[in-house]
Amino acid sequence: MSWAVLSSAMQQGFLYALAIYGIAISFRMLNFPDITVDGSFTLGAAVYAVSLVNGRDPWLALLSAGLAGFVAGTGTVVLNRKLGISKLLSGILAMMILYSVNLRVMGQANISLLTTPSVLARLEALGINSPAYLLGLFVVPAAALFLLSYMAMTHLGLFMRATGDNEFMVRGLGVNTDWPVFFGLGLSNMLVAFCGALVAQSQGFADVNMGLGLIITGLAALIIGETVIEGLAVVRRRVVGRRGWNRWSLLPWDTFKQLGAALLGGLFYFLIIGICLRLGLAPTDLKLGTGALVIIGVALRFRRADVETYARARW
Amino acid sequence: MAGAAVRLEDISVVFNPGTPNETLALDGINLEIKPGEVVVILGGNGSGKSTLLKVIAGIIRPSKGKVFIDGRDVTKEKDYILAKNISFVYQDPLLGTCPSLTLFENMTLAGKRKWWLPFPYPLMIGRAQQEALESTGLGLGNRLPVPLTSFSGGQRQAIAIGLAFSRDTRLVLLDEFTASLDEHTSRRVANAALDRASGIGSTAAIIMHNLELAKSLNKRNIYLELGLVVNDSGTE
Repeated sequence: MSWAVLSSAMQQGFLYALAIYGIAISFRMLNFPDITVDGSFTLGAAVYAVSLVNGRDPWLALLSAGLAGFVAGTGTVVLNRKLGISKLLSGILAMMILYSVNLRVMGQANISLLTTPSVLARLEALGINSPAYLLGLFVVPAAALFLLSYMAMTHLGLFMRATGDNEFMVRGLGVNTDWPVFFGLGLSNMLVAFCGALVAQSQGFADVNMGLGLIITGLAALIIGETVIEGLAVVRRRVVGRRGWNRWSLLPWDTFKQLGAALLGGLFYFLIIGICLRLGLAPTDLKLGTGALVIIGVALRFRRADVETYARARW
Repeated sequence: MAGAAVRLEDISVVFNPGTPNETLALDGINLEIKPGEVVVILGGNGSGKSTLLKVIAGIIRPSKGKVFIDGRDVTKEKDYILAKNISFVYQDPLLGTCPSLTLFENMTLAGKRKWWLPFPYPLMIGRAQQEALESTGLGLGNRLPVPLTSFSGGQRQAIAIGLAFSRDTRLVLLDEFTASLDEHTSRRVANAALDRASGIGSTAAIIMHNLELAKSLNKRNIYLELGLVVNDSGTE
């Protein structure tokens, strides 16, 4: 494996980690299959690109992109919670509406960012593909991982996870569950929009179709990451063995693992894609390959669960 | 803490109105439960017992009639607002707990803290939650980091009951809460629940199938049949 393939996988993995965190929040924490992300990814890129073209500060442009993503996510919650539309259909509708919104925001299908100022300018000055550039880029998903892990340890994070697990119980505790979902889906889409803006910046343009299939990419990466983390946990159990518990065992380790899986999964996903391209896979077949990865990942889990159930039934 | 006074006025509940599946679950129920009183609701399957409790908790809106708690009309109040003062234990322990979360996280949810606080929760459970776990007598305090999916149905129900009582609410509604427990444990848990309810002065309504157990509790019994109160043994 060449450095170019590894470096490219790391760059993409670090950038897309934000979107995969977002997808982990909606799919895993909130149990909300939110497809809005396909639209909010492009929305982030669109708002960022238009802000830059209009002479705004790049950091302000990035912030605007994140806020736009937050609003898009909360829009889906309104469709679901206030208008009674199912979770899946709310996401599909929001994604479709966002396609038109993105075109309106951009005014054209493609905006070049080659001549505008960049949030990555200082990093790019270190030389793209250099270890220093990659290290600098790694700060973005690492900081997000830290903040999201902190959030998981707060009451807000706990109630978000609880709402995704058993909303009925949380309402029984006197909590209006609309709010944890509202905040969680807003945060999820905000991360995705940040990712869209950074990806647009890194590739030098924003395109109205750039979010197409992001949900599948994110889920594929998440499933790969979860498989890796599960494997590591099995190895750890075999090496260290089972131990008693202490205070630290009470931390939300499952959520930490999910977030870690999002980061690792992104890296492995883009590494696999890079190797496949190197081996001669046509770029036009990438979506097919990604879909196949998701199918294989889910099928393997299903098969394993099937075997375990069968084994339990026998014994 | 004084228990809540509950009054039901001419409560009717019709499911699927205007369809071939229309069902009259409650038919003009009038009922009064005094503050701190414990009532046992009895009746066969489909008699409307669970619907009655859900109407009081605001989970089901009555088709007709009014619900008063402490003299205030709460018929149109949202369930989560009423839940601030009501604990509900369901027959199905899966409904009353978060199965993917650990026992510690479930107990932390029931603690008296605002959900929106952006501060880390302490890595210990509150005294009320600790006492509630101890009262189950199942040694659950040693299994705090374990997800609830790893507990048996009976253990989960004991946890759900512990969660409900640890909140010290003014009204406790228990829907066939001992159904998944064995004979011995259900008697012990029922007595512990009553002791706890009277200890904190809560009003309690308990649905039971086990007539013998219900009689042994020596409380006011209300018999329901086809959505009607057919017998009320009267207040204590």
